[in-house]
Amino acid sequence: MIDSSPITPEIAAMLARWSGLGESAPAAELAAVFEVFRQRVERLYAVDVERFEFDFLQPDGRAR
Amino acid sequence: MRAEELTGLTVTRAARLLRARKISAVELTRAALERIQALDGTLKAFITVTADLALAQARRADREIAKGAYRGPLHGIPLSLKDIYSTKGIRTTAGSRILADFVPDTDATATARLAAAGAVLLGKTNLHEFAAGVTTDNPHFGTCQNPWKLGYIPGGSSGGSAAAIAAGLGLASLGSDTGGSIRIPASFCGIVGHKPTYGLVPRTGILPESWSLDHGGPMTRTAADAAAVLEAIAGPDGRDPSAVSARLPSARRVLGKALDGLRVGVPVNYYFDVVDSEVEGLVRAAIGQIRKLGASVVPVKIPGVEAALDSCFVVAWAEAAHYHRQWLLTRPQDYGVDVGNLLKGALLYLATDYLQAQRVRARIRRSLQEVFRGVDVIVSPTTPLTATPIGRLEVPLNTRTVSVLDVGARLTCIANLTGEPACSVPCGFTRAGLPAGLMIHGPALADMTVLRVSHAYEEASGWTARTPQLDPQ
Repeated sequence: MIDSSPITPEIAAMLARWSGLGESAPAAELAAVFEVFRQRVERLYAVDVERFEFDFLQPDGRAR
Repeated sequence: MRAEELTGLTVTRAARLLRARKISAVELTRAALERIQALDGTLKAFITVTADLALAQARRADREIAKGAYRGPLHGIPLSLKDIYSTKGIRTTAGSRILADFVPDTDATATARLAAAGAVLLGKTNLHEFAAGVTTDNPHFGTCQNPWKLGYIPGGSSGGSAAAIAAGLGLASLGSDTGGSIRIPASFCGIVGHKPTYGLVPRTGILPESWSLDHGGPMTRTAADAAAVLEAIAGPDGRDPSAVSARLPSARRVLGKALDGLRVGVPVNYYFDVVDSEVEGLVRAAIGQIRKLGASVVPVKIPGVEAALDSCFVVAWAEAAHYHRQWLLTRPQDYGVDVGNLLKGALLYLATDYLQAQRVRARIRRSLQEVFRGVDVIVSPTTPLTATPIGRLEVPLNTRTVSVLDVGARLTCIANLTGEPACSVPCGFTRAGLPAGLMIHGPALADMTVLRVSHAYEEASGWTARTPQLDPQ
């Protein structure tokens, strides 16, 4: 189950340390960014991709 | 010919005059440089102006043309490069403090190809820092202005290139496009911007934002000009592993063809769900005009496209954060606030998040491939709204408040995910005097079909002939 509680500045500071960023940005600013990013990823996981592999772009066909 | 007539020329018209020696490359270049001098203090479209180089290249072009050694339609044409294209011996900043003093020792492939075609380099244009945004409100090199309405953004990230073309500061420019960065500013500034098929223009020497989404391409006044520039820079270079080797049909043979029998798809889902009513009216009118030109217009549904922006942003920011990681850890204070925070946030994406975004991307790509079995191109607004006031991160749109970044890239990002060609062409002006763009999107390698539709529409509509009124300081 996904934890849907918002990312607090304290959690953001912890995540920033984990990613190597240290104290490079105000925790409240980062919390807002992290929250938007988390919601974006949650929406993506709601998409059914069962039949689709990661096919890196290889344009095909003839030029028209 | 007067200076303002020279700076208002299209590439194709100027090329005819240059070849016939009715104008010289030096007078054309001087007129452009004088206009940059007069207007760019206000517009902030350029980061670096290469006046001495430009005049030297122009003199050489005139000598060669006089001797009959004409190189082609870009010979003697003054143009610019987004400051993300490497230029040997000329600083290439990517609009950043991090690379403010970076002077490459080689040219990007596209840079070298323009030089080989005899083009004249006026300078390097302003952009959103590291091409990672849509406003070109650059904290290090100045806020670029929209020539149609000062105080409004030109769009981005190739905002300086678009503002320069719209204002007559050069006849063409090269931009780059990861989620819409050629087409969004083209739409906001009333010019033509073409994002080619992925891999058609080598990315070699274009500083990366996102390897799998980045495209280089032309920004011009007309579709015919875009085709001329594209022909000069397309083709594999043996160094970009994603380059495709297909040869495009000649623009000269394709562009004048009528649209009879062409099937034009108009999306019935997503594309018109969030759109300014004036922009929608202009786009629907443009579609009507394309029908009158002989094309058949058919409704199309594109399943799964609603997830395009999320997929594009996760892929783009994850790839960008990987490229920037060392600088983010060691020089975080050297980033502007918006770009720095986005890239820092992207360091938290998991490998599984990135893979999910790529699988969503594959789904959207498959959907578009299915749609293109039934139609030759699809048409839509380039952006759901016109240029927004400088400094606003969110704006009202109909009954909701929208992020300028999200709504700006909402429709353009789709062709970045699929790697298919898409062109923005002006389709009219709002009551506030701001231009709107029509996007024409085709299947992989159908760049000339996309430009053919763009050309036919612009010839019929005449919008590209309109230019902003700017008073030199």
